[in-house]
Amino acid sequence: MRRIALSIAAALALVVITATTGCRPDDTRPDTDTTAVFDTDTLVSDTLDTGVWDTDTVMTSTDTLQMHQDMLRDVFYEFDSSELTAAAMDSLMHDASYIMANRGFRVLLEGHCDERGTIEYNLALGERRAQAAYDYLVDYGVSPSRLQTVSYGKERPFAEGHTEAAWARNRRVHLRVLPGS
Amino acid sequence: MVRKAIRLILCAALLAAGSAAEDFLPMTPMETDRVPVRLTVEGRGETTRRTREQLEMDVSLSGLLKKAGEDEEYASAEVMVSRMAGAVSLAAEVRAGGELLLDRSYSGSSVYPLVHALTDDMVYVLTGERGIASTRIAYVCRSGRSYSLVVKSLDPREGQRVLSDSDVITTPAWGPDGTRIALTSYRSESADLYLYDLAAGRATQLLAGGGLYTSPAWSPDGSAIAFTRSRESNSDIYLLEVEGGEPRRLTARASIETAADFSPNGQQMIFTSDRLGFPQLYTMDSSGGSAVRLTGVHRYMDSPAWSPSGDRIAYTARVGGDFHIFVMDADGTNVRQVTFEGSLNENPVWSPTGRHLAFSSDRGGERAVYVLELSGLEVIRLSGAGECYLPTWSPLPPLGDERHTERTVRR
Repeated sequence: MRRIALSIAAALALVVITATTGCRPDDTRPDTDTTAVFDTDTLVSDTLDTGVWDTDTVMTSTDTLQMHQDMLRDVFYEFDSSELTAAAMDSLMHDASYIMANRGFRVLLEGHCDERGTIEYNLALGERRAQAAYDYLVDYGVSPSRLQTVSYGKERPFAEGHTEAAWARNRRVHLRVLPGS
Repeated sequence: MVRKAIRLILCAALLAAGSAAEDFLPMTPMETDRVPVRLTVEGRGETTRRTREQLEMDVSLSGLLKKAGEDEEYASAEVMVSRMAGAVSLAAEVRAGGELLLDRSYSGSSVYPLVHALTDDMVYVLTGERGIASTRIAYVCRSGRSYSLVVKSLDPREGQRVLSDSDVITTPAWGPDGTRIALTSYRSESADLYLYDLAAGRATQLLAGGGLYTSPAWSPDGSAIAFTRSRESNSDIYLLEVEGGEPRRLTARASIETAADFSPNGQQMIFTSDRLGFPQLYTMDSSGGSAVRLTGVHRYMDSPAWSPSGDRIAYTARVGGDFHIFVMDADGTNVRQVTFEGSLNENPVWSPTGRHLAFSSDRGGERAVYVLELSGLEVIRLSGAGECYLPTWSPLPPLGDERHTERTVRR
């Protein structure tokens, strides 16, 4: 109980930090040039997941994975953009809380594009979208070891068709649940 | 004086506005150089009809020969079709100016490879150039979540599905020795490079792990493959020796660098970069180093392809909300538009003789692969039903390929 209260407090603190450091995901990326690194100095990692009793069996059945899959929300993007919208950040905040609160799975962040771009350039752009979602989740507190990114460009659309509605559905980062922990 | 200056400035502004809205010049047909050939095909039955139709199509698509009109006869081809015991035979005689240039017979189980071999021989004896009738084109087809690599000949025969998967197959590139196709597969929840060996019918992993690997391009001697590595939001071009070794990084910028293609002598590369904030075409030495932007006439350019003789570049550009294929000189001048139909024309590749482009287009509704002959600007649809795209053209067969030939040239 105390642990849950603590993680809620930590999550709230993170929400405040994320909210105050800016709306643009670029602003919250770790600055790779700085030399001050905390992780290696401290005994306790900066990113703490909810613990498990090691007498419990870790559920990784297909049903459980499907349950996790159903709980995660995909993130949608504007045309030709990898910026996170307010709605995208809401989805990611929900996803981050869920991933941190539940164990026994990893998440593949799949960047997707709509068909109104060239194949090669879209393959590269999709990686930017996936990375924007990845950076947000990691900044929020999700352990990088549970995340992986991939770009599908426009090669595996969610919606067939050549309408604005189909394009909007295809400009996304899909959170795909993978077995693992 | 002041008024005159103002008028000049106004004129300049109007000209600038006018050129911004200007349509791009279409490529001009140059039919005049074709050699007229009178075609006579004799024999019985459906095989003869198919032979005649395919021969006329091959001649038309060659860009070097044309079916002679009534009063323009320079050369003639007489073909006798016979069928016995499951095999087809074509006996052909080709003459020009009364001289017998080719007397050869071709036999095999299907008539199409025989007609292609005959057409390529005809092109060679009449013009001294190589024909492309016997070449093939590979492309990707998608049906829902099912992806295939298809190899198609330039005739009505159905494409051969050489590789299928429930994961994405993309960016195939036919190697210069004709035996292998490099491609990207998403079999392992990432994008890895594979080599598909056509004779063995086997795809072998070439590079995986540490990023996404897409858009392979062969060096002209077949020893190395340039490709794009995407990782942590950045994409750069790398080079890998096919026979092993560590990939070498050729570009190192935070922007996207992708879609590399070699110049025919292998010394330069053309590629896409969005270092200005939007995708443009650049050239650089194949060993890496500084890059030069080629032209700035389009806001969005990608998929460059260097012509086999090195003089021209084909690419895709966004025009309004649509994508079309353009060809320009290798120095970025003389931009010409070559597609006008549909809203998504993409991924131009040159035929090995540089007289054709293959590309994908949605002009027929779904994306399909088309072939464009550049002197007459004739377009044919190559792929059958279904969504197909990303063509890659096979190299020319070795000169003197006589798989279907019974007799050699009699002079």
